[in-house]
Amino acid sequence: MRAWLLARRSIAHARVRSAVLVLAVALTALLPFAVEGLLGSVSGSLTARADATPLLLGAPGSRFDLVLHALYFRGQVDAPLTMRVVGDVRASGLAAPIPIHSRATARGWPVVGTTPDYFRFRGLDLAEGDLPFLLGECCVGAEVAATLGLRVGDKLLTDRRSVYAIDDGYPLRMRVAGVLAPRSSADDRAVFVSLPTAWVVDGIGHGHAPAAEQPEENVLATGGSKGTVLDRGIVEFQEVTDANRGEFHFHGDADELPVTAILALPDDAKARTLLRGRYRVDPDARLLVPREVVDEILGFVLRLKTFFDANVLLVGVATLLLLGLIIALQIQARSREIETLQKLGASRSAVARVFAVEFGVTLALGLALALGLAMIGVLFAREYLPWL
Amino acid sequence: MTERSAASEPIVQVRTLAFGYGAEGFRLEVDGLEVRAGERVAVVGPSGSGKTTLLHLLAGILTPESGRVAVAGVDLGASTDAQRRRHRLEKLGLVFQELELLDHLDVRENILLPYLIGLPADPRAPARAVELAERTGLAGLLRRHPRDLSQGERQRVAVCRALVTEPSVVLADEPTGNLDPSTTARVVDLLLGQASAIGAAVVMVTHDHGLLSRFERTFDFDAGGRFR
Repeated sequence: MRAWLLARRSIAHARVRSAVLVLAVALTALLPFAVEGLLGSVSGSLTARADATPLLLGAPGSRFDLVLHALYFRGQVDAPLTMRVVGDVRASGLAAPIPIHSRATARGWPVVGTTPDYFRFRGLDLAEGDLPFLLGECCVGAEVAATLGLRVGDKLLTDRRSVYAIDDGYPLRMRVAGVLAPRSSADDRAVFVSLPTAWVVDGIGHGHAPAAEQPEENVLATGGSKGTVLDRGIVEFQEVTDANRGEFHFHGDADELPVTAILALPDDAKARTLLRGRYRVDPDARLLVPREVVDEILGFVLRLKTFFDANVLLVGVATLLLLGLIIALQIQARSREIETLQKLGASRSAVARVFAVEFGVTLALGLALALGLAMIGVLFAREYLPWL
Repeated sequence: MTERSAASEPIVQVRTLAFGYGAEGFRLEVDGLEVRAGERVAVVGPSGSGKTTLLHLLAGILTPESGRVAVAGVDLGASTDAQRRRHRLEKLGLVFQELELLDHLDVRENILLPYLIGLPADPRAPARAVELAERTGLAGLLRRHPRDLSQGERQRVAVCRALVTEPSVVLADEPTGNLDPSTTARVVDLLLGQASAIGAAVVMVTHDHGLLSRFERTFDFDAGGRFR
C-alpha cells in the first residue's frame, strides 16, 4: 500500500488541522528540548574549562565562588591570597602558578589581571595587536571588542565600584594593546591586563607627580623615616603614558600584593598529589580541583532539573492523552473513509498503516519543529545571553 | 437469458443463501442465482428489500448465515476475511451508491485507488486510468479533486475506479440514484459499455425501471427480502 502517498495527501488536504497538530506537538516538546540543549551546552562548556584547569588555589571561603570567579570571571571571592602564595607554589617546584587578580570592571566587563603564562595556558591567540605587557595596557576578549567596537589603540575606562565611594581609586583610562581571537569561552568576555595594572585599577598602586613637584598643601611631612608623606587628596594620573609610567608605584611589601586566585599547573600526577596534600592543612589557602566543584554545581542544577523533568513528564502525558483523544476523534470523523477503503478491499492492517503513517508524520514534523526551534533557541542564547 | 450468457460458465453463483440483521431484523433469502461471464443483470425491488445487502454479500463485505456464494471462482463462505478483501480488490469492481470518493485525492488518484490500497503495482494501470478518463470525458479533470466536480463527473470517476483493475464482475449499487435522466443514461451506457469492453459481468441495483431494457436479465426482490 502506498501509505506514504495517502498520508501525505491527507495531511496536505487538511492543512489547518495538520498545522495545529504539528504546532501542538512542537510546543509541548520545545521546552524540554530547549532546556536539555541549554543544559548540555552550558555543562559542556563548564566542564571543558574545568577539565582544562588542573588545580586552583584560593583563600578559604565558598568553593563555588572561587571556581566561578577564577574560571569564568563571575562574581567575587570572599578574600584574596597574596603574591607570597604565588612565590611559595613556584618555590615548591611542584606546579607552575598563574595568578589572577580580578576585582574591577571596565564598562561592565571584568578586568582580569594575570601574567602572559595565562594566555599560553589557555591557548589564546591574538586577532590583532599585542598582549598587555605594559602598565596601563589591556587586551580585550573578542566579545568585548565586538560589543564595544574596540580596536587596537582605542581607550577603555575602568568603572568605579560606587559613585558614592569617595575613597575609591580613580578610574584608569587603559590603552587597548590587543584583541583576542574568539574562543567561545569566558575569555571572550574579559578585559585582560597585567597584574600591576590590575592593582592600579584596584587602587593598590597609583601614579602621581613626584613629591618635589607637589604643591605645598599636599605635603604632610618630609625627612622622616617614611620619607616624604603626601596627602591622599593629591591628583593621581588617570592614564598611563610613556611620560608618567615611571611615576606609578605600589606602597608596602610586594609579597603582600593581592591575587584573587591562582591557577596551579602541576608537572605530573605526583606533584599534583603532593600539592593537594600540602594545602589540605593550610589555614590560609585552599586547593581545589575545579572539575570536582563544577560537577558539584552541575549535580545541584541537575537535582533541580528533576523537578522540571517531572513537570514536563506530567505535561507530556497530558498532551499525549489529548493527542490520543484528537486522533481518536479524527478516526471517528473519518470512519466513512475507513469504511470505503475496507469495502474496496484494503486490509485492516493496511488502513491502520495509512493512519499510523499520517499521525507518525505529524508527530515527526512536530518533534522536528521543536528540535529546530530548540537549536535556534540554544544558539540564540549562546550568542546573546552570555551569562548562561 | 441470452445465448451468450447461456453458453458461458456462471461467474456468480448463489445457493440457498440466508442472511439476517439480528434475530428480529430484516432477513434476506435467495434460493438460487447465477450470473454468467459478461452478462448484464439488473437487481430491482422496493426500498429495504435487500438489494444492497445482496450486493454486499456478493462482494464478500457481508458473510451469509448459511448457503453458498461463489464469485469469480472463489467460494466466499469458505474464505477468510483477508482472502475476501483480496478477492474484492483483484476480481471485483465496486460502484457505491454514495460513490465514496476520497476528497484528498485527485481524480487520477481516486481512479487508481485500488492500487494504492493493496493491489500490486501494475505499470499499465496509470495508462489504463488515463484511457478510461478519456473515454468517459474526464481527461481534462485528472488533477481536480472530487469537491470540484459535478455529480455526473463524480459518478464517472467512481465508474472508472471500478473498471481500472479490469475486474471479472462489476457490482454497482444505484450509481445513478441522484442523477437526472440524461446523465443517468450516459453513466449507465458508460458503465455497461466499458464493462463489455473488458468482458466483465455487471450486477447493478437500480430503482429506475426505464433502465431495465439495457440489461439482459432482471432479478426482482419483494419487500420481504425474498428473491423472485
